[in-house]
Amino acid sequence: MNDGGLPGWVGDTADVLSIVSVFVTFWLGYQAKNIKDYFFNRVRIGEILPELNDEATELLRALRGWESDNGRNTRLVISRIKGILFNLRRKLGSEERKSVSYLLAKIENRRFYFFGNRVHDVDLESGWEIATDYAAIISQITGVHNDAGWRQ
Amino acid sequence: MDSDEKMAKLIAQVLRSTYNGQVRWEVSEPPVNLTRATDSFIPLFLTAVYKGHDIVVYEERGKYWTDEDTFNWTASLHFGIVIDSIVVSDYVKYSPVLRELYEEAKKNASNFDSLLDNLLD
Repeated sequence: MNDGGLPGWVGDTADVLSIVSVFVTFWLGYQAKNIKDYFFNRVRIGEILPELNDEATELLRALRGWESDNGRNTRLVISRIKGILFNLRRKLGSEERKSVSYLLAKIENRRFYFFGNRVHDVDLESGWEIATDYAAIISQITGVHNDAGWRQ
Repeated sequence: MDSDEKMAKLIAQVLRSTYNGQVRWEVSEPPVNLTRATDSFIPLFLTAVYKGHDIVVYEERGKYWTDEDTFNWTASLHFGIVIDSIVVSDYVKYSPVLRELYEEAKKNASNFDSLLDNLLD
């Protein structure tokens, strides 16, 4: 029996919609975070790219001088690159992240996850291998970053 | 390993040999198949012999069209292998190793170190 108020089904529908709207709010919050992260990461990658390029040149020149300092400078540059890549890894898409993780594993010369050697084990051959892989990653990230400019 | 990866590896090897002085670079004229019927300009074309094969590295300045009637000038670096005076296997991706090879080949072709030594004497 209706005593002048709204029919009962309106109240029931409102309850259901309130519950649904909670999920929609969470979903919107999640999407907003994704969009925020996307733009933040895009700007940061744009800022980091020149740094990555400078370190690549530094690494190649350090490899050139390997004989004179017995690889000391090379290891120093590789340590810096390792730091930059760790920071960069979370900002990348899944494909680029995979390449970065692969290179980081190579830098640490890991055979098993828990038994990694340290950067000071890098020799001239592995130094050149790291430099080549590192350059390939820069090409990959530069390509993706340039593509993102067209997606707007 | 695909051909792009092989080229990237070859560029690193050539750079290493250039550093060691095993590869000598020379300034040359670009072949006509790169300069005719194009608006592009090649300011510097460097050639060398690596393991018996002619290789080249050069800069190309060309128009990058952003619309039907608007363009910017852009520069790109190329690395290629020459067969019968024609540049084949043209590698044009951006790479810090290629950039360094171009810079090093430039210095190598001009004997930059001895030039500086002579000027400082």
